[in-house]
Amino acid sequence: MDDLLIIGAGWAGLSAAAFALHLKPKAKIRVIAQGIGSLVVTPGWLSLLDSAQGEVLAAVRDLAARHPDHPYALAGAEALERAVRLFAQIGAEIELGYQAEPPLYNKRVFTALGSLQTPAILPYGYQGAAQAGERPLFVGFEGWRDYYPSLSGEPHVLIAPPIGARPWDLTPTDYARHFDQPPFRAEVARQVKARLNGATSVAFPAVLGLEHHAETVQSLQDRLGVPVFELPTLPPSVPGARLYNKLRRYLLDRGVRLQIGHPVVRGVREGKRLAGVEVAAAGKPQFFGARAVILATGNLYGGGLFSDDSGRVWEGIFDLPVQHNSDRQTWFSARMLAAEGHAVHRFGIRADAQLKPLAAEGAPLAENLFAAGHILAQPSESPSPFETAEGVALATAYRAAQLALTQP
Amino acid sequence: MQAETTLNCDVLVIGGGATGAGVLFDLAQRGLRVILAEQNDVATGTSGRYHGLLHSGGRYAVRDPESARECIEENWIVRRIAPHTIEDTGGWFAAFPPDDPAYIPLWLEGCKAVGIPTEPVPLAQALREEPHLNPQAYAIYRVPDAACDSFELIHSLVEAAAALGGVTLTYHRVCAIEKHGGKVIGALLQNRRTGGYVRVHAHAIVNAAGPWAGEVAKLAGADIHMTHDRGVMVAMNVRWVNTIINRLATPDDGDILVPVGTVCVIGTTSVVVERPDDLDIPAREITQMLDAGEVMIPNFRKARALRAWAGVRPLYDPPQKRAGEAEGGVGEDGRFITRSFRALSHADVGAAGMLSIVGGKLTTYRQMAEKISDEVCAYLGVSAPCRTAQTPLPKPTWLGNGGRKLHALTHRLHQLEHAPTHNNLICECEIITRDQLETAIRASGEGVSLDDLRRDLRLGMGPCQAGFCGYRAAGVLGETAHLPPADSIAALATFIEERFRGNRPLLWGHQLRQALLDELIYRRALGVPTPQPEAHAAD
Repeated sequence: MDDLLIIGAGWAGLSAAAFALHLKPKAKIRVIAQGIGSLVVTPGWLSLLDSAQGEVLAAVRDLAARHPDHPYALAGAEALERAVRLFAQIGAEIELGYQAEPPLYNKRVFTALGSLQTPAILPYGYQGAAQAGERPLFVGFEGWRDYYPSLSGEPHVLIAPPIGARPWDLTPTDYARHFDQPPFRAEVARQVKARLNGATSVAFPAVLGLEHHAETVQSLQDRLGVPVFELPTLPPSVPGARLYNKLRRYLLDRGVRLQIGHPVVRGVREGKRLAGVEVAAAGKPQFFGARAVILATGNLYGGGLFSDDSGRVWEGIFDLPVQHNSDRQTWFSARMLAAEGHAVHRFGIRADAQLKPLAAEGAPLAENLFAAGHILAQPSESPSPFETAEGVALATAYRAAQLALTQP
Repeated sequence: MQAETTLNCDVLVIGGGATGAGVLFDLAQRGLRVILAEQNDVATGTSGRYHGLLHSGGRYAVRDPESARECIEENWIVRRIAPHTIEDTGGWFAAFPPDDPAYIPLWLEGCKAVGIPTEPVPLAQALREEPHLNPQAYAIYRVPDAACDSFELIHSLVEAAAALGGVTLTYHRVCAIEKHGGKVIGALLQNRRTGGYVRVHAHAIVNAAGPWAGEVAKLAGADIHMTHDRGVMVAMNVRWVNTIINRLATPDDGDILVPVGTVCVIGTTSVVVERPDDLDIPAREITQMLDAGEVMIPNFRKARALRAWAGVRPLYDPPQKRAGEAEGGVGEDGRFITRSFRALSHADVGAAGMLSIVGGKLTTYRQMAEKISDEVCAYLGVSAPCRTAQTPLPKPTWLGNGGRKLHALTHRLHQLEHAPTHNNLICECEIITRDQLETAIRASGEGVSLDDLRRDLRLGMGPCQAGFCGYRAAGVLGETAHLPPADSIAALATFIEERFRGNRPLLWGHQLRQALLDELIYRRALGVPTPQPEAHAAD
């Protein structure tokens, strides 16, 4: 019997496990997930409210006050601040950055197309963008299909680092592993330095080390003498993979059990409570008992929700009702990049003020089941869920962990 | 308005679908100087938006024998003159509950009357050949249907015509038709890429604009009543069958299943719409197609729907109906209008020398071209006979020496595994290398869009729907064509929207997850700017 069983290993699931460790260090915690979660496709920064102009936490409190159905509101006013402080503490321990000292203001980071994004909390790699200066130099790798610095509209060069005869086959993760090697970094720095030509900073695709990220950024800055920063790439996202790897190790080292690859198929009820869950396994489903369960399986993208051509949307484990439009024609706007986004992003389950998922009759499904992350519905008219992506995951994960650990 | 360029020819053909390309080749072969003007790329209208079926005519055997006869005659001819465009899958007409058994003798009689060979297939035999077929099929007949690649067919025609001096102007829209002394004398075209004008002097004009034929005729002052009959098709990522399956019943929605390459296509619906470019795909029509697929192939919808598209059938709705013909009102089922074709002269409005060819099917393109070319020649006093039924068409040069379809995955894999050098895969789903992309960009010249490259190479047409290759292709386009970054990014944004338009009706299940991943890439990792809304350039 575990004290806490978390279903899902994305931003919400993994951070719920990490927060639970801090809230109750002796708790027995288990994470069960079908796959490795969404971290490896997200840019690895924390969007709390990208459009916030002033202090971000204050802007989030405003948002929660305006939208009492918003996951930020359900998580409560203090959850986000506590969550990001704790996350920053862990970020420092795992050497990835993520400083979050309030007051918090949105930062400016570049993309590979030269556009700007404005997340609030950054790992080391993106931090240098603040010192990009007048003349950043965008550096790419000759023959690599995943990055084209010429599209940035900034001065750019292609270098040819020593990576063998088939540079085009490499993924961002392959490049990151090369950057973990000091001789490789030195050669890259040598080639870039020769072509700096007065640049005030140097931008690389986000492949600056997988296991030794901080050291990679530092050594490149030392050798080049200017700030160095990363640009998010096509998936897999190395900043996301770094975080996933380090968080995983962090949790395992502290006794959290992580089971990836076998999905939870259903909950096992015992009166008004969940006794535990069943996990698909070879032979027959396996039962895992728990005092409390956090459902953090994500939205339609994350894999917690499913849909079919008739317009039905359902939750896959507990068959919770999902708030959605039944006319499939209305799920997406007419254009992919429509400024207003798509209705489908907001589909999700409903929960009460204790983050307990609501069953069809409007009452919590079970006393000891909590929801965190993007499986929660978001109200229409609230900011795009992309803008608050990691903030919602962390705030609800924090609050769900806090409530779950008070279970008898 | 000042024309920038002037061209002279005997005949101007308007419309770069199968019919227009067929007329271009037919007249060029008869020794005339011909120019074809197409507002988009060739094969982008109805001819490029069909299910890929070379009809045996069985579908029309009961209700529309004239069209059935045309289909079977032309079916044999197209197999002979353009075998490289055909995959001879054969076809079946199969009846499933609740199809009416009383239809079967009528159908057999209809086929016999117009010369469509039919052969009964015992169910046990059928299930050996097609194990996925619904075993409740209670009557199955084999007919000479085939899958036909219209892109290759049209490219073959354009190239064969070019070898005889026939000129094809893509992205040229007709702005005006010029008349003098009761005759047409030419037309003014606008180059949609450069904005420049081209004046074409011609002794005759053929309007082969398909669903736009009404608009083109209007430029000459003629009124032809076209019915725009929209059909929706869905490609599934599983080749459920190797044989074309038709429902042995009165033609209805979703009763044709065509294996095409690695996928299969189900079609179609039939809804009369107002505009020739109304290509909307209502979600309910998709569900209708999938339901219909389940009747022929149980578990049909368990495969992933890859793409949906709509084509507008250019049906001619003459003022004087023949027996059995119905009015085609907007929103109605257009199936009661004949699939046969007509050639119309516009001498009555002072536009002698202008002829419109309307109605018809892709299968009968050659016969349509022959008929209208005969009339053009009669008008011009040319006596050269039509030889297109006897002349084999060349394979398009882009098929390469091996003559194999470049876009066939097996061919590309073979090339990739045996090529000695640079083989940077840009589009992994469709196996497109950087070399191929660069070659196509250079060959296409100025103003090429990623959507043009898609049609040439199948870029972005796999399961990821350009999520990964869109950015890569924009990068290669920028580097190869030396574009300013803003132009490459605009090309990417336009391409994303083009892909989304075909994908949006199919967003549920896995394909919906894929679209959300693509959106994550575009919005978060890349920050692609939201493009300004504009009319779609090329369909």
